[in-house]
Amino acid sequence: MRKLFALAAMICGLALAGCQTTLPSLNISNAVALNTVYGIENAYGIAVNAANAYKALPLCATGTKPSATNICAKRSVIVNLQSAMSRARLAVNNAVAFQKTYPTLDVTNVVAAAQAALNDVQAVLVSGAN
Amino acid sequence: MVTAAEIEAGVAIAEAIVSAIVRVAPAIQQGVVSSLPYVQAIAGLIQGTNATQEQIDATLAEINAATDAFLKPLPPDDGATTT
Repeated sequence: MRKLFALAAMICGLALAGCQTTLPSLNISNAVALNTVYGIENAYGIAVNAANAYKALPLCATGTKPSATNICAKRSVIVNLQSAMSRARLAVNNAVAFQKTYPTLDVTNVVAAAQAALNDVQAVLVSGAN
Repeated sequence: MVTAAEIEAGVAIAEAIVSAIVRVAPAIQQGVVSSLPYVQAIAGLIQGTNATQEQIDATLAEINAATDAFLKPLPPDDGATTT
């Protein structure tokens, strides 16, 4: 059940973040821009929660790998995630600021930047298990 | 609107992430529970609910606070957790 819920959470987040290649019509109304920015914000929220959950694990002992019997987080992955998350935070904040400052302009570029940053976060999270 | 194909593409990546980290049950469960509002918000968007500026501002404050927590430095490495 937990796995299903987690999967559903990831699906929703990824569908609106890293995996969505075609954005909705972004330049025709303020409502669409609001929805797009809100979607990327919430996808980022899921990502940062996953990152915090990973960071809450005990650190792996030197020379060991995470496994079913050795549940731990790699220091190197957390450090990489912190860097990626910092970039994603900046990109998401930029997207929100742009939408607020220019409510009638196309948000495609700033949202694409946030999506790219979230893709980096996603890639680092996946690498944590390897 | 998110299409079925995009969701299927999301499933493949989501499975990789979930299989990689969901095994760490207690921490992941906590992460999933705290993700619930975000999941509900995304579900609302998919169902056609429009976002407001107030929601965007409130969510931004939440995710920035969560990011601040994540960006706090790890304890120094004494050589035991170099991996």
